[in-house]
Amino acid sequence: MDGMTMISVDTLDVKIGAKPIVSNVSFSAQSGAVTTIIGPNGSGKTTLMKAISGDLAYRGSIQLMGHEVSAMKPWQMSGMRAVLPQSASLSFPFTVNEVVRLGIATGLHKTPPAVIGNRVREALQKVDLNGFAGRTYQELSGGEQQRVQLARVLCQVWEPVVDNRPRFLFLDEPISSLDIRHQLVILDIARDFARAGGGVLSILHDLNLTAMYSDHVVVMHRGQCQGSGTVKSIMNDHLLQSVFECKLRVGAIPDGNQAFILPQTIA
Amino acid sequence: MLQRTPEAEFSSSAAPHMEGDRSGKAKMVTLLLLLALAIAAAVSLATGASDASALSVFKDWAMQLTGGESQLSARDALIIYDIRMPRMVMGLLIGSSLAVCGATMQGLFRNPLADPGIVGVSAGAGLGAVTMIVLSSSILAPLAALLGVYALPLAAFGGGLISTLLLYRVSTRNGSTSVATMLLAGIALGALAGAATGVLVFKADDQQLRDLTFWGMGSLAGATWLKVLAAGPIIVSALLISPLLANGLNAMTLGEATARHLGIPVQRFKALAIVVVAAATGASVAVSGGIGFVGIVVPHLLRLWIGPDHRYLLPASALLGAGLLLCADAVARTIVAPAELPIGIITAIVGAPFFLWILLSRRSMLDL
Repeated sequence: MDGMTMISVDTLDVKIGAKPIVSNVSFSAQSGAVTTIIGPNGSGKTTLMKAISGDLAYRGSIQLMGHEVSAMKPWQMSGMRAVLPQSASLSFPFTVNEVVRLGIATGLHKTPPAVIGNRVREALQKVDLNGFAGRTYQELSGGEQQRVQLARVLCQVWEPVVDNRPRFLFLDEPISSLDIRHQLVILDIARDFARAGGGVLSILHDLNLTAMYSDHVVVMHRGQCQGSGTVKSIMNDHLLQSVFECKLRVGAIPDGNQAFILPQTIA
Repeated sequence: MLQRTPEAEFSSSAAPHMEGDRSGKAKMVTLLLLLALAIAAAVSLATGASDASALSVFKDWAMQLTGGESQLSARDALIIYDIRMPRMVMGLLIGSSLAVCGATMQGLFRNPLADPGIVGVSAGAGLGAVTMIVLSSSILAPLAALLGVYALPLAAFGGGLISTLLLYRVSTRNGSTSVATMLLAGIALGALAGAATGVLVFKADDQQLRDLTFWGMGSLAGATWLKVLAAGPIIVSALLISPLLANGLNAMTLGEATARHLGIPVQRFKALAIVVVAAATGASVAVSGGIGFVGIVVPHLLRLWIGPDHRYLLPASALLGAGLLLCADAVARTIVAPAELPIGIITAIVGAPFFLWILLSRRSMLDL
């Protein structure tokens, strides 16, 4: 299962208005792996992910499982990938249960009610929100809301592989408002999804967690891709310092080959 | 190869009740509302300025079924069949249309204050109707002749459609709607439509002025079978299409981009929702003038009761809207009998304070 190219981005240009935000970006992401996009604020990470999600017009090519994104219908893509947005406000007082259920119920495929109930329960368990099903979404904290949204997204692509075709999770800063325990909970979920044969494409700001959880890293800087490859090949002092424009040091924990990144000063 | 993913798992056990799942309650409430509506309809047939009793009609039906002769006096038959019954049917149609339009528009604009009456869509529909009334004897004569009884509702539909599209363009940017912009744009659109309506009224002749006056009162008083026939098919079609919007409206709660990620063809969906709202609002305004606040009050009450899931909210709104409008009409007919109060006054007396209350309780959310 691993090694199948699921996303292939080739000479991608994305403009918002007249302003080029992403230019000449090429990279690919495999199933069975966690691919992480890193880069400073305003480097085009979110725009890149929006284009891959099918939200923006683009030039060049983005292929999802061999199909050009711009040529696919929303329902076709909804079976192939689920997208966790950076923030999600809700306009009406839905319960947590009802929000998570939207991940299943909106699709065209019919799922039996009993299966829906169980799946919602399991998804909430996964994101560590046991007992939250009856709460109103608006009453939750930002971190709790973020985990409810992740549970909804998980429900949309519950099986990482269907009919030998892997599915994808797109996560835009999935841990931005979480405490450290829940950062690990969420990234474990992402890794498990990839280990089960699906693919994960996420945007992270935490370089240490990126090093810990990623199989593949894509570095964005000023709208361009500054490199993509394994953690070892990409996350080195030179590249990270030039991209993030500050002094930092990449080291390794002595009793493992886990990399860690130690920030130092603003250069 | 693209296929819709099959769901292989099936479970034989019945769905256990789960916290936060209000669908069971929603179904119960819907049944309850259906029952209440039946009672409201019966009361509506039975009450009025005259002493004609609906009970005598039911007795008469039973008599005729068993082969007896009709005992009903011609006067009572006329009152029941040609005055109260079309009025009751009209009340059902208009009430459900107003409430469903309110709920749909609120879902589409992602906020609970959107209502065709408040954001100028009804005013636009009114302008369409007035245009047809005033110009039907001159420039629009061929069109009016071609469309027959449907000329007025279709003209109102056109006016409603244009104002909804304008409103959406003005107040929505990057897939999110600003409440303040929407309300202010609604005021501007309403004022513009009002001014244009004024110009037309100024140009109208005496007969047209009479038509306009009767039409503009915001009342079910002029209900005839002909009007039911004119507005009915449009409103019923819109009501029958509205359940198809439920999943899309639910997904839109999370924003346009997320709705698309969940598989909703957002542009097509929005176009359909706008046409449904404009059609039903137009047809309602064409036959009953502007009856305000039903579209705000009904969905809001139901959201508090059964939650905002549109699969249940839309049908429940139709039932409660119809029931409440029949009750309001019964009050309008009897409170100052033998005279009659325009129903719009009653819905405004109840609805306007309610609107203010929603504004107050959600002020922080709306960042006004």
